[in-house]
Amino acid sequence: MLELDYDYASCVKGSEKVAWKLDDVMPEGARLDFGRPFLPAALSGQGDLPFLSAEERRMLNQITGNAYLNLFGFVAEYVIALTVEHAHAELFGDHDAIRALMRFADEEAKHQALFRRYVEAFRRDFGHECEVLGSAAEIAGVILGKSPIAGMLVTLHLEVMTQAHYVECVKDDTDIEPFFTKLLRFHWLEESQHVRIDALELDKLLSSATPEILGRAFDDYLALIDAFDGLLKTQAEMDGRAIARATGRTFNADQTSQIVAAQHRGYRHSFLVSGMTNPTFLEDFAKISSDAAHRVSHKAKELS
Amino acid sequence: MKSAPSHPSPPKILKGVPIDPALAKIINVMGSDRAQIAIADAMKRAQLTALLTPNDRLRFAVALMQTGGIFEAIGRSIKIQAILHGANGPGASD
Repeated sequence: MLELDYDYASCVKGSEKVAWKLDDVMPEGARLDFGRPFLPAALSGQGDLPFLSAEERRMLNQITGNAYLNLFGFVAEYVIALTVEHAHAELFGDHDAIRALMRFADEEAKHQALFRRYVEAFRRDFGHECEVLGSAAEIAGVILGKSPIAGMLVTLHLEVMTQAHYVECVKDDTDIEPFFTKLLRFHWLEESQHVRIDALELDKLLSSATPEILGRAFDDYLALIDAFDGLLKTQAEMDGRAIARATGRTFNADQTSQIVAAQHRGYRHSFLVSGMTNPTFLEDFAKISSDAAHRVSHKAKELS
Repeated sequence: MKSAPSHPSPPKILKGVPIDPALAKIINVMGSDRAQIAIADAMKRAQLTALLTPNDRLRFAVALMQTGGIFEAIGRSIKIQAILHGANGPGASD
């Protein structure tokens, strides 16, 4: 259905070619440069907050960068569970698929460890408490409780989104913190195989899906987008409190509301809209159902 | 007991008919002769004559798992595959 021109064996080869070790990318005790922004402007989404100084805006950018990486580690929790489940389904069958899926799961666990190490370095050196979403296992349960096709659609959405973030926004930005760029580069290298494996798994699930199963999957996907949006709003509220602590300022209700709205808008754009409007993702969606692709585009406009 | 092939190929062809991936797993591990016996036994216990839907595969998997040993492991894998493909009958949430 998706007309893919690669297979599991080529994904394994690609994965072996780019594999890296956690300590090579981020040694224990690595220090971050807090004199620079962590996220490029296109992903920090602060909009117009004229009551913040340049230094305060940079701090908010760093708070956002920390939450951004934590969110990647956060979603890795369910991706690992999902991928192991798909590998289990292939036992005694397609050995190439098992290898590809097991490597995928291992790499996601490594990415999660990398992001945790980063978040720990941030917590140690930033000097102010920054709350981040912490109920990853609970959210994993919600996603895994939905239709398997919806779970795989959300995963594909997130993977194509991370690819686009690095290639379009991070790779050539020389202003942002170099370590942050390096970390996202190594993440991107392995994620490029994950996108292909997601598509192969999705294609397999679609091959036997009835119209009823597909209809439920699209409903579930959009419900998960709404649930994710709720989490992003919670993170935005956490950021509002974090910037107040970091700057030592007391923002009035209107200013707090502007900060939270700007953060939420930025996260929505980065994590939801940028995935839902990604040409590769929309193209795949359209191959499955043009009506469903239309619903996704409509939802993206609603969130923009 | 025949040893499992080191690189079992996915869905094999027998007399021009594609073998269901669930049955192919058993053949890959046990070899054709032993697999036929195990498949017939599980089909009988699951009261099935063919595997046409994900729920059929789930019923077959549950029956196969009751055999124990390696069949339990194969059955569990078939069961997960069936659930991923939409099976929701008895045994799906166990």
